[in-house]
Amino acid sequence: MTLGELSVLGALGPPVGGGAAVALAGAVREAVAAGVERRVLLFQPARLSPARRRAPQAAMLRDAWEGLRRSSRTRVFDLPRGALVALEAPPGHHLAEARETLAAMLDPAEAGHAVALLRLPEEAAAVLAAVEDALGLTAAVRAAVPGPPGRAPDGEAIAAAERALAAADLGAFLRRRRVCRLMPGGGAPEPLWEDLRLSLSDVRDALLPGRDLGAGPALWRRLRRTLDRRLLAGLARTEETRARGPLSVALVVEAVTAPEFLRLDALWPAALRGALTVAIAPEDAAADTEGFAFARAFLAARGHRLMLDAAGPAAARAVPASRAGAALLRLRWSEALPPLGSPAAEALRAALPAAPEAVVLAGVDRPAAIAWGWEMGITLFQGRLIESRRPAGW
Amino acid sequence: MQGLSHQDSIADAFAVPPGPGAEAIRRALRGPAGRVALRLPTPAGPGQRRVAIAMLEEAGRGRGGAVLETAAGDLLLTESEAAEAERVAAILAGLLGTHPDRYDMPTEAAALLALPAPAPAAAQLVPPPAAGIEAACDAAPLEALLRREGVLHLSPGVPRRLALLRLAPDRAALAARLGPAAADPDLLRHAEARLAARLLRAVAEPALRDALLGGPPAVPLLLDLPLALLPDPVLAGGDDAPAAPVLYASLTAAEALAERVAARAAALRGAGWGIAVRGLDAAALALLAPEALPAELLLLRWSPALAERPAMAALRRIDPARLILTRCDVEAALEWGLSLGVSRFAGPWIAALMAATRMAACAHAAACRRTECIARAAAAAPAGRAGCLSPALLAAFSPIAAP
Repeated sequence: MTLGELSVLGALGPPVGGGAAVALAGAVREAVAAGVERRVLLFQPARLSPARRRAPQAAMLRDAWEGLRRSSRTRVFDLPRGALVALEAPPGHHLAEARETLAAMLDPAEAGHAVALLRLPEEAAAVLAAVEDALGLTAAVRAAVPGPPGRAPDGEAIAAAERALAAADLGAFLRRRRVCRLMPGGGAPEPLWEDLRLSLSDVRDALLPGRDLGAGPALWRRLRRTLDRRLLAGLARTEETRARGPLSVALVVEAVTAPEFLRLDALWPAALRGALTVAIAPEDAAADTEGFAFARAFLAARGHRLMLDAAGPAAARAVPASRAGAALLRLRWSEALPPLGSPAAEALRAALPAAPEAVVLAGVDRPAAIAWGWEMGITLFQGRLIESRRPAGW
Repeated sequence: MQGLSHQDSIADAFAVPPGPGAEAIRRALRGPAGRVALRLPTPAGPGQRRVAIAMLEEAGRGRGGAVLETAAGDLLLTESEAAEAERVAAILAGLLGTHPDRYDMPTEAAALLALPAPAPAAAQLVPPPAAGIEAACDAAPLEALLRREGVLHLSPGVPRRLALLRLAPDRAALAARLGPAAADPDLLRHAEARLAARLLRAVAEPALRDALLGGPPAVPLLLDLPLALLPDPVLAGGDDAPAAPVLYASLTAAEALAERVAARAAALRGAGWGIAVRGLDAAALALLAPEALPAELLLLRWSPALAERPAMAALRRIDPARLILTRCDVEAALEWGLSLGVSRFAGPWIAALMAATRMAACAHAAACRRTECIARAAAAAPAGRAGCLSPALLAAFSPIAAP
């Protein structure tokens, strides 16, 4: 490939480095490389007191600078955050005059802080530091510099938890909830299926006490893969499947193709095909689109249902269940859900599957949740409040 | 072969090597007619492989058929009832996109016997150990695990210029350091998060940062960061905030789905931070509603599939000024991007273009090859830039002229 062959670039104009900061940095480096002498005037209004930065004062200060723009002997660079830089070859005197004009309008201390007359190539580092300061990069990064890992889990801790898990009884971590149909004015909740999940906070307290799992989300997910396989191994025991009814279980994507799920699938009673629902988080689907697509196709081929398990409205909106190919969506009730009638609620409603009984509202612990769900067209619920309603027939 | 009426004589007609795989084939030769064997190329993904084995086992269960794997990378079901084999073959074809080959048994047994070294297919799942992942990740010098990439602003009638400077993990280099652990996606992601933390500490020190970048950056930086490393907006706020982001944190699409990213992004804006979402390929655009992602910049991953309908439908709802087309490796990528209104591009093709532009402007280019100039510009290690006599030009990616 040569530049001449790039036909698409024909219309794009000449290559020019853009941005005053780029150009100034380049000019400084060129002066240094060539050993050429230059004067540099720096004016950093961001370093002035707030009073000076207000309109009348700031305008006067800028006027003092304007003369430099009109001179053909100086090059002016407008940097971000209002910083101004001018370059002049000796024996010019414009920069020294402008410096005097600016200093006369400022306190001596202020002038020393915000106005500087430098020489290239000797003071190149100071000029580049000013460019850097104008860009604000170092300050921005320093806000994010991570502290010591502290309570973050590490590979050693996860490996230990995996070993502990091999011998642990998962029963203590298991939570069963009924997913019930509850119609406005329709009487007692009507159980449709059982939702099985591991209490991840209990697992953490038992296996990784005191660890902040949010600080190591990838390692925590790795442990969840092991947990899911243990959970599935328990479900796939023959005596378990015999007593089984309709069921939903939340899994990581990889668990759908784990040996334990394949065993459960092989043992799943023919009469209950269509009554096993696998809930997968939208984050998981987005992290591994190929693995998710295969898991979805496999579940469909085996007659199981796929439910998108959204932790909140942002995930439900960004991964609409219809696009994900999921007939069901589960949404967790929380204060993060948009108030009824708000534009955000309407946007969320548009992302929900339109079919009846396609959305489950989980974590329902107060009547307001059910009221919210009904207004959004949701009639399937699970949570503490539903459990306490003593549905008939269970 | 049709002339042989007794199955045993078929078995006797071939020299069957010893071993459990060959034994299973020998058994399959002895059964009645009306049975079928299935063969398909072993799927590449471990999950797909396990599912294929499980499906074949299901088809063979009624007759005691065995699932074997050959040295040539095929899965083989030795025998199944014909109807059951048809049912499972249809499922596998739907899942894997290729229909298994079907052999009538015992008449077509010769094809099975010709397969190299069949052995029982194991479907175990033993992930690499998690212990020691931090040490493996930290052992390598930071600059050896990073690469520089320029994002070029290209738009008809506008001078081309560097828009962003990306300092990204070199995933191949990181995976090589991690060894088998890199095959575990979660361990790899953990290592990347750890690398990102090291990178942030280095970028906060101007001297270390300039060593990585080859000089002070004059355009905003784009860094791949995990969500957990975004600064606390309360700490980050300041009345001296830059007008435009000086640093873009590029999140994965999965992390950008977390609640409150939008609120944090707004708060971080005042501290000079912008949010980008990376890795949006055609498959992600078919799944996601990109307009709902809380990011100022969306990094598209070029492939011809981006031009197909599901991805285009998603992209039409996005302001092209938010898009960056990455991994451009052919001119067609640029043409497609420009037709969509995209003006920021990165990838091997862009790296070659910038190298060509640099060399045209460089006084020392006569001694250099284009590939050398590309590799030196990508290096985050000073040693990787050795040999370049125009380090300022190299650091800036593009020649610099007066605005």
